[in-house]
Amino acid sequence: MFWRRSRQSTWNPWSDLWDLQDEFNRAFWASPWQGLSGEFPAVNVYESDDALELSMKLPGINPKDLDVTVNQDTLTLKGSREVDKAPEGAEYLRQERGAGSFVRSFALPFPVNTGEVAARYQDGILTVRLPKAESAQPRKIAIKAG
Amino acid sequence: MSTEVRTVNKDNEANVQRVERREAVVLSPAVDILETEKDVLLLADMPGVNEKNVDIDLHGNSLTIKGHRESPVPAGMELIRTEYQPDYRYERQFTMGDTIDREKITAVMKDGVLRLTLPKVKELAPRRIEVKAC
Repeated sequence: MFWRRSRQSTWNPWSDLWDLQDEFNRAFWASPWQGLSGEFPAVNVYESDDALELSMKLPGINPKDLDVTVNQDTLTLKGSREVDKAPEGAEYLRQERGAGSFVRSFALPFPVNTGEVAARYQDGILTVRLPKAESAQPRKIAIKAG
Repeated sequence: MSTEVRTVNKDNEANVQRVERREAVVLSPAVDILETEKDVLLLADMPGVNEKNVDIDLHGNSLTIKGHRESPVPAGMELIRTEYQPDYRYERQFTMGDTIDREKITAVMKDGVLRLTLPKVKELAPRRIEVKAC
């Protein structure tokens, strides 16, 4: 599981398996894009006791061309963007912005409340919020004396 | 990006806190530049930037576009995986030719893409100059 790498506290025997799956989940964008792990889009992950939030830079995308799907334990992000329609008779002096489609999927380390997954696209940033299922939230165990 | 601050109390218990030091990285945005008969169009990808924190500067022949973003940490959450710097600044400078009519430059910011329209100076209509005899 790719994000287990940054949490050394719990040993996850499945992490190697999921890292391998991650390798197979690469997709590419037409022009080179900066991203630390080489996958597109680069995703930052925030966590709290009751949810996970993913944030990624996706400028100039029409939300209709974005697809966020969650099933039991997999989150899949798909999207595409076309080269902006150039006005009649336009000549490109420089073209650096990428266009094309991408697919990225993540194996989730805990069950999520699929009914409450929310995604928001604003100013070119896509944020996906995944509330953890009740059973996955930390429970305080009462310690009985005697 | 974060450092440890360690304090010890009188019961000799150590308290270790991670202090986040957020640095903003400076990035050069990817641009598309197109030219038509009437104007030059510049499109720059600056996700996370909106019309409030974008800056377009004109000094003589130099055009500088700037934008910045400090990604808000959602309430009660902790950043556990970073694949891109959450706080960043965009900056890129271009040199314009004399063909651009500086007074008529317009800019639109949508979905993190800056679209600058730089109209070209209209050719002055040819004039015939009358010569009078003295």
